[in-house]
Amino acid sequence: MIVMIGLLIGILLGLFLDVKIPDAYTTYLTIAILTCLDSVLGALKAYLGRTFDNIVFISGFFGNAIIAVALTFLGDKLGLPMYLAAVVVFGGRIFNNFAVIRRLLIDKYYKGKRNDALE
Amino acid sequence: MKKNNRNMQWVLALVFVLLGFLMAYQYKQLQDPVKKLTVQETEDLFHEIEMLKEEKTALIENNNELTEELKSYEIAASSSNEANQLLKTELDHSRLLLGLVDVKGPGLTLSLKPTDPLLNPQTFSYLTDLELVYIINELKFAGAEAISINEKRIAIQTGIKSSSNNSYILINDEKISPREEIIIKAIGDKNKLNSAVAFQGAMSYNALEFYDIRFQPVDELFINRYEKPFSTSFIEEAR
Repeated sequence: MIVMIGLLIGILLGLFLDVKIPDAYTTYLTIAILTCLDSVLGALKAYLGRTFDNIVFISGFFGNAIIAVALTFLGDKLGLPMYLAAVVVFGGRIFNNFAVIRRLLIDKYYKGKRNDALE
Repeated sequence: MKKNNRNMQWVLALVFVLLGFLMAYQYKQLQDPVKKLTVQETEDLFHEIEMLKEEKTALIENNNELTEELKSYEIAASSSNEANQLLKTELDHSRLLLGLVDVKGPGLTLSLKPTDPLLNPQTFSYLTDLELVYIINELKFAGAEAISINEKRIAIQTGIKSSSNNSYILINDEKISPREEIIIKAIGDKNKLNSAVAFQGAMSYNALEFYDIRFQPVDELFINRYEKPFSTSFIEEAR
């Protein structure tokens, strides 16, 4: 619940606040968004698998973003499109997480049904 | 333990605020297709404009001071005898004719505003150097003694030329845009000027027919002076 409210506030802030991030950093921003999304899905997976831990989630959220951005920066300096690596890895992980989440949800659904039947 | 959990929830909310902000910001950025310059470039340009503006004001001030000084020299020189005084009057008259001084007098203001291109999607075009030269010629033929376009004085060595595929028109090496309103001022016999412009078909030359043209005789007009030096690299007096 509080998560949803936070997300909503963030979206509103982004839409209506007139902050200027220089265009040169657009790649970094997109990479950061991608890693953050991955972390969020990872957290959802962990939550459904009952292994969720706040510290792990938050450190992953910021840590992954920082590392991805740093790699992209390094790639920029070396003329190597490192952001592609980040896009591939984190994109792949997002799909993986989705797969696991799907399985967990299906498991949960069947378990619920079985429990219903037992009662 | 419970308190700790509470705190963690706030941190989580904060994290999601950040995520939402980033996504919304990026989305907004991509919705804005006109932006081509980076922020750095824009800042640089603004900075440059500011500097040039300052420089321009300083130079104009300098110019004014020097003109005043020159005037005082001339007055000092001409006050001594009548021949010199005559020379001074002659000099002032020449300056007036050449457009080297600010002038005022009755005349006509003419405003050219482009209409919406959607009204004539097939044929619409913006005006070019041709139309401006045509108007100047019409005004001069009707006896205009001083003319300016968007405060740029048309002097004896003024050239008018479209540039960059008519994205702007150069007058005295300064740009005016055919996409915005253009104001032309002319000092002369205001009735004569008015009838020249009002003459049937006079203001429908080429692209002028796509412009909203308004003109008005005025009792007192101010036209500023030609602000560039004349060049005399090639001409010399033939004896």
